Amino acid sequence: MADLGRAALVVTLGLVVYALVAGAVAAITNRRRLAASARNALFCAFGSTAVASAVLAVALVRHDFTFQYVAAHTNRTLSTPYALSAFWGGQEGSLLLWLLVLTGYGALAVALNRSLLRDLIVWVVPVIGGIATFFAFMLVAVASPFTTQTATVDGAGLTPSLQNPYMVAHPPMLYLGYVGLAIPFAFAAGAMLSGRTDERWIVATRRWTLAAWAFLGFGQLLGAHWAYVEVGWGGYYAWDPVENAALMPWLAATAFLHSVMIQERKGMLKVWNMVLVALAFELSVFGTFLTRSGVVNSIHSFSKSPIGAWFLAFVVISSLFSLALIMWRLPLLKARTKLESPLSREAAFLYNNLLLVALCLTVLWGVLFPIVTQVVKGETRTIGRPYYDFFLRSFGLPLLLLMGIGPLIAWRKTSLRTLGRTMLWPGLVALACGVLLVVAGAGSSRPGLIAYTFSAFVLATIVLELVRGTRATGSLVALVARNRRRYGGYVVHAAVVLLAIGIAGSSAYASSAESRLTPGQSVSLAGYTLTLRGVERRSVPNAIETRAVLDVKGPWSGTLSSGDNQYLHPPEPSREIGLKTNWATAEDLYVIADSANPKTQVVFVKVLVKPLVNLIWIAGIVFLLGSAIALWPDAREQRRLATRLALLRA
Amino acid sequence: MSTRSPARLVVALGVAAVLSIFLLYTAVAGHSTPTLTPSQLGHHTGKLAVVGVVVAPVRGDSHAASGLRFGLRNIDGKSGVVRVVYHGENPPPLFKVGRNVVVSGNYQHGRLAGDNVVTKCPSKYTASKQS
Amino acid sequence: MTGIAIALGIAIAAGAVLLVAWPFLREPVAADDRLDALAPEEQERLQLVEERDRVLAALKELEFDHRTGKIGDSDYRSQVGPLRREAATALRRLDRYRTPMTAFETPELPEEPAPPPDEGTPPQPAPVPEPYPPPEVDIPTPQE
Repeated sequence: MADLGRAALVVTLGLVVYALVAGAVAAITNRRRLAASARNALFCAFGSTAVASAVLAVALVRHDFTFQYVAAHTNRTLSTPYALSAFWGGQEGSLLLWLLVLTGYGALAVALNRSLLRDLIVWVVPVIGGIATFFAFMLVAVASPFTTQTATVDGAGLTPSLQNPYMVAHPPMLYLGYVGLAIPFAFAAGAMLSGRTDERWIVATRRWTLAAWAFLGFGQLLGAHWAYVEVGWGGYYAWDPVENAALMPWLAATAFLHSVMIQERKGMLKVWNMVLVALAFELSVFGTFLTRSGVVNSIHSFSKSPIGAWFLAFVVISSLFSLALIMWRLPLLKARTKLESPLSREAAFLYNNLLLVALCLTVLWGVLFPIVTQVVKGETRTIGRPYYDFFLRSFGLPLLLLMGIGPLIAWRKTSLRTLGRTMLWPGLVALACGVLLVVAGAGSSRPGLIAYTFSAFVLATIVLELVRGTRATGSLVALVARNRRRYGGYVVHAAVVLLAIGIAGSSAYASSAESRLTPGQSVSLAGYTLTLRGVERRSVPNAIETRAVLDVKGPWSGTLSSGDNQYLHPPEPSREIGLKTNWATAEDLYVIADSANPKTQVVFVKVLVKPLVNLIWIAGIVFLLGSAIALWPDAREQRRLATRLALLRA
Repeated sequence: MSTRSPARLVVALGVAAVLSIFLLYTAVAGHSTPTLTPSQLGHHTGKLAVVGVVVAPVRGDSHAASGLRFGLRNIDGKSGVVRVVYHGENPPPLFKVGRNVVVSGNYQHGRLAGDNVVTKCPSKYTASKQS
Repeated sequence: MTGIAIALGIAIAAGAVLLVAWPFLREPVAADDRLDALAPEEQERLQLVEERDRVLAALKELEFDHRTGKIGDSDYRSQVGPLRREAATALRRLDRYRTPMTAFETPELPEEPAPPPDEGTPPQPAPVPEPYPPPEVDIPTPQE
């Protein structure tokens, strides 16, 4: 069976190389049948990659330990969902997933657009073929998932902390995001190669970009939630290089989503958009490189692997290619209109872009710093949390404010007086909230207070927009249905605001206490008193569970237990936290029990109270809702496109 | 209204503002911690982090006054052993002899007084045997 | 097992070769092998349609923003005139391409200009006193 998988991958490699070469020749020499042939090659590549993926999936489910990959990442006790999740749990399998999603997306994007964007698609095919060639080559020659061995009795198994629904969903979500960014990149490259640098490529890839961005964002939240409940250090984001690897392309994609709106309406920022889409794509491949190469120390990253060098080469070559393309087509990328006023929606989008890209580059610098210092000084230095926190506040808080101002500002230009008038009510609401918050004691953290006040401002703005719009159109549903993109965007903004409030609350206003406890002793924090009842140990299938049981009295009363599990297959320990979400007071009570000893009945307990942290997870749901609204197909838009299509077929 | 587009001015000012925040930070508070392997420690002292593999014996308890005591060696094995005394929360569950870790703390007189330990997840992405 | 694998492998490879060669198998001798690119005239017409849609969308958005109070009266007045003239120009240029043969074109145009991509349609246009005379050119109402 492994032979079939290997053969399928070789076929894929052949097909994508053909798509690249034949596609490029067809585009240059203007040959219709060759172009169609190259397109078919791309469609077939998806098919053969799907076959290879099926082979691996079947091997995983059947616990076929003649596959080295299956033996390294699963064992017999693993249930089917987790055995399947091992598909993307290792190097080779995750590369296969990359290729599967890439060929799938590519085939779909080309198929959907081949009539309307003929001269563009003919170039998009070789670009996607080129990207796919790299991954197919890696899978065939460097990191094959189909290496075989004499079957071992059992496999190495999956780390218990990864056996968790969030960890099953997190990587595929991220991949749908990472790879999804290749589509707008390919269309942008196609636009430049074909000379069709108008807005058509943007309109065609708008939903692709939005979907990829939504998957990437939601995937990160899934990972953060897993870290919070499973890894159990009390936080959800550690500014680890691999976490940042997903954040950076997401920030670039956010900037891109906004700036394309300007190009669509005003024909401005054409060069900037090309740069941004290339940046987003390169960062997503770079992120893949970071995760695999062992080049920076990270809790996630893994030993040095030769694959890193290949990835780096790909990033460098594709970046140079994009740069060359942009320089060559610079004359075609002239703006149609100019920015008329620093007080206009165009300008607001521009500030938004500057801040987002600044934050993105700041994070990139933090990630690269150890490598740079190693090369320059011969000594690795790492940048810590305070750096990231500082810049998140410096750039994030103004961004938060802009989310509120942007929708209120008109296109082209507005006067300070008009702006002041539209901002009056939200501003007053924000001020009132600020005062109330200070009275309620939130003045203890200035950044926190600012974040809350700005959030109130933005929420008030969104409500105001909805109210005004409803008054003008008569019904909220009709308003949203007719302006899906705009109001879907507002819902997404609301999600970001919830996220900001959740982050501010759980970091700026969190409290913690640590204590060594014996039965009967207690520790108090934020109105809660936790008394140790005792330390218990029991055996369950495949694990020995040790728990410190605590009685809690306070805004919530009950029992919490926390401790650790010692698993048997594979023999790995894991930390188990005690968590109680108190919806009434909107806070989490979080207990980490350390060194729980059932013999001595001693345990070291760390208690955390994290206000509003659950808003972060709620924000994830709202985020999906907003994205869905913005992505929803629009009947009128479809009709318009159909008309244009008919026009072309005349 | 001036005929010259304020776009350039806006962009220039924006970039300048961003850069100045950045420069201000790095000038005032640019902490970065040296992250060294045991063989690179040499004459360094003070706040730093050490990357290495945990070597036996591992004794003691991080909560006790005498701390958790263990050794660190280069991941490639080519170095002597650095003695570490770690105080604080229990190290992460994956901590054990043979594991790659990053210990941060204060290095004085040839000993690292650690206050934070980060373990790496067991290799998901090691090179497969044939490459 | 290996027998099936080999057979499947061959089938996949053969299928791929067939599909890739299909365009050539279907038309061994092609009368016109040039890419179905748009003729320059079609290209321009498409561009004009896109231009018209863009300007009309901007106009609708301007009116919506004014109606919801985002733009003041004076700002609205100063912007709506040039935009309406732009719209008129775009429609006029598009009109030149209309021939009896292409009567199917722009079927979705209702009594008022085509709805823009994604803005709400105000129930009626906001009445604004126009201090200047209206543009000379009639915005043609499609009637065929």
